[in-house]
Amino acid sequence: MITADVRMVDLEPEGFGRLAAILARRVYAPAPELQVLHRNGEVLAAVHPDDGLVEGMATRPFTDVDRRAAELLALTGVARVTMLDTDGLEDLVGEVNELAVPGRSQWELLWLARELWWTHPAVVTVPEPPEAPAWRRVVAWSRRRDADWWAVVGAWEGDELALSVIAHVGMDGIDVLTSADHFGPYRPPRSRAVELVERVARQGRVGAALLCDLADLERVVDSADPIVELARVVGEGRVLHHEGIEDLW
Amino acid sequence: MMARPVEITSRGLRLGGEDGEEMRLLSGEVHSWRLDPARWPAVLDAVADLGFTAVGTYVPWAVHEVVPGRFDFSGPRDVERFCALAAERGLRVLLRPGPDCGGELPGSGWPRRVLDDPRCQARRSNGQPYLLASATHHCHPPSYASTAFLDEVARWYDAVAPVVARLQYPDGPVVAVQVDNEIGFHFQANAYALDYHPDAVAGYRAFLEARYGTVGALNATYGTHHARFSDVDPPVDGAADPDPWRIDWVAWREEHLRQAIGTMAGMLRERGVDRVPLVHNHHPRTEPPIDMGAMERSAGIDLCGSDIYAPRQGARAVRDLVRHLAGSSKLPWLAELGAGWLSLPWLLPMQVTPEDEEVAACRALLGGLRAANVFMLVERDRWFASSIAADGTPRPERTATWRRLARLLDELDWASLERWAPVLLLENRSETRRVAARDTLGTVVPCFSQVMPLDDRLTSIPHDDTDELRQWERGMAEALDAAGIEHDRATTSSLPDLRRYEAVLVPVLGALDPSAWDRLLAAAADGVRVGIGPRLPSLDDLGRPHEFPSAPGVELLSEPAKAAVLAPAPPFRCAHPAVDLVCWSGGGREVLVTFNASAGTVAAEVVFDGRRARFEPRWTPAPAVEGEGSVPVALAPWAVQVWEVSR
Repeated sequence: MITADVRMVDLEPEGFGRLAAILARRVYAPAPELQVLHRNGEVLAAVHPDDGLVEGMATRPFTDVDRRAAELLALTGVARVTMLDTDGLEDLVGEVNELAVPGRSQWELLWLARELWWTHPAVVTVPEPPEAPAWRRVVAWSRRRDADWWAVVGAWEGDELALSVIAHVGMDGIDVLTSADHFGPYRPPRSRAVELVERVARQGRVGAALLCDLADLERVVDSADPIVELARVVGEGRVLHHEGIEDLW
Repeated sequence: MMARPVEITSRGLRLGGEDGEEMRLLSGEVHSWRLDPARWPAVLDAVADLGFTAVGTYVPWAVHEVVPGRFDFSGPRDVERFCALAAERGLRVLLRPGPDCGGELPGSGWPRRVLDDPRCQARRSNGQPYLLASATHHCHPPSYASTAFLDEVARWYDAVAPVVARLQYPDGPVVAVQVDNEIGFHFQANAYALDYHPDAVAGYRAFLEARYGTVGALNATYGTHHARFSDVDPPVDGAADPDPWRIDWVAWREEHLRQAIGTMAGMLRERGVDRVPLVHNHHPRTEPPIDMGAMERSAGIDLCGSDIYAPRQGARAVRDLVRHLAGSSKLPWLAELGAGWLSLPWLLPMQVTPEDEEVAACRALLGGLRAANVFMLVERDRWFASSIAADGTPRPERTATWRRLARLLDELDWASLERWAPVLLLENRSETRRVAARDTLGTVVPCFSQVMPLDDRLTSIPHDDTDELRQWERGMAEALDAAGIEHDRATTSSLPDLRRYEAVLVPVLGALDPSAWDRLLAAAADGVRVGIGPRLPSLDDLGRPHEFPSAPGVELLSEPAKAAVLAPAPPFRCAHPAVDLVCWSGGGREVLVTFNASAGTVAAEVVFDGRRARFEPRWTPAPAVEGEGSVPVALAPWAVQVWEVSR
């Protein structure tokens, strides 16, 4: 979806920072998870999110890993228990290594690695692993399109354009990541938000656009399923402008 | 040894010999190859206008080697033209030709063909290459012991060193050259993750031979029966009670980094880069495998600094790193003082506002740092929020901090001031190597949790000693901070001149390098107050029982909080826990810098001896305050204030 040699230029000093702050909440979301490292049922260590390394029930040997995970979930009150087979983890690392092929971007590698983590036999977790992230659907959606188009995202806070992220999609994926700054100094007010799309359209075809209030963008990013939440926001008529994204959901 | 045309001083650089020009080293990073060359003049004009004395730039291997064996230094890669333009504007240049560059380059600046060469790749103990997640693209980074890799580096240096050499002062504006970038096993501190490349293991065995002399001496220490050094395999996992075999491996990793930098430094010197200092920068870690003091003194370079990127909440991390640089280096220098941030929101999202940059820059440059390279001063691909746009247009909301700082440093003649820091707090490297030797899961630990969400606390074997050591380290530092006693930091493995200090503190659970003990005793005999705790040393750096000479001048502390008792009273004190003070004086003048390290507004009192004093604010406009014995100060959230004090 993003090419390895993507150019990231003319990003808004403040706006991109705000996007980073929003995404940081997702990337560093508190995940109260008990992790138990074991070798074939012999526990080597267990770490609780708040208490650090713990003993007791969490470190007693077991024969049924699924049952032990469920017991610990009920006992500790954490949001997730993950049992890690230390020998299997080495295999997992090898498989992650194999994901690191030259043409694959960092973004895709990280997401594929996370999917592998939740599905690998060395990792047993309760409750069910997090659902497949939205990115797969976004990638599939973007690949249904021809190459050479722009995607525009703009978010307003009050009347001011608070942040914009504009991407050019080429043959192999996103090859330019930029912002409204790249298209000139003018930043349209909320009442004329669509002018942002019109300015980009002077440089090439706009294949997708989402213009909304910053609070709604944050709501979408913070949600468990951003595509479902985006559909809801659009369906409720809360966006300022959208085009080309209806087949995302 | 003859003096070079450019020498490092405690305040910056001296150009042209004993009576030469004293130069403040305040540079801004500008990636020339990423900008339109037609814009270079405007960009450099903007840099000079802000008061910077130099620019820094990588000279990336992968950018200049356009096809294997052919190098291009033309157009946007024309380093000489860029340097000439800088010189026309009175700017000196810090060149950074790698081999590693970072810089959000696809392969960190190493050519893809080198990264994909199995002979060059760093290895885990199971033979697997190590996956490093980096800018937009991942790679299997190289082993700095690999002869195949070092041969490739030599070929790169054959091409770039003549270009660099021509540009050296006094014939050109280059006043320093950086060897490699942030060496340190690719940010992976786990003792058993890297590097098990066959050439690295051979180096480890040579290290053991140099240390023990005979395999019999090694066997006596290890309790083994090896026939030869080549039979000794490195450890691949930790132990709760580390043995000499594991501690030697941890120590070797530190030495390995120095050997790598020393080898590359030697290559550059042999190729004519011999008139300016060679420098290196560590990422902001001070514990094993990093030893900045030892790197500076024994790796064939002239200066070792560090890098830090911190929003306002990280101001005290900046403070502590600057303290370490002040204690470990002849010139406390940040090779990368963060400004703006890399545009990789899916890996390391961070917001950096103008206020964040002011906090970090002031905490560094007004808190003890003497030299810095602002990274990135000028925006480029894969970076946002720099002070100067890629076309040379300054962003006033961001350039204001640099302009004001440069002016303040001039107006207050900062170079003539000394920071009051009478105490040295040491990291006991013998103890921290034991902590490192307790690492585990070296074949699994990922470079970042985004690659694999493994809880970091699982990668170290728990031990009461580790907890006790951290308690003492933290407690001693907190005691000094609570008492308002500014201090330097260093490690026992690379001690500075201890007689510079009135008190030296070091946590000791039992292990200590006997040579460090001798230095502490000598300092105590010279009148330095030496405080250790919780116990007297009884084990050497390998954990073997050792008879340490008695210590008449050394004070055994019963608790970390007692650390402050050994220190002199500070000239200025503030009881508010969020306020840090740094006191400066020289030539009959006193300057006090106050930092509010909190998100709240602070109203506090600065207390001093009974004479009446007037505090004139020099950073944020405000009325002067006067008082006898104390003055009230009000600090906005995260705010800095500089006071010129007259009594």
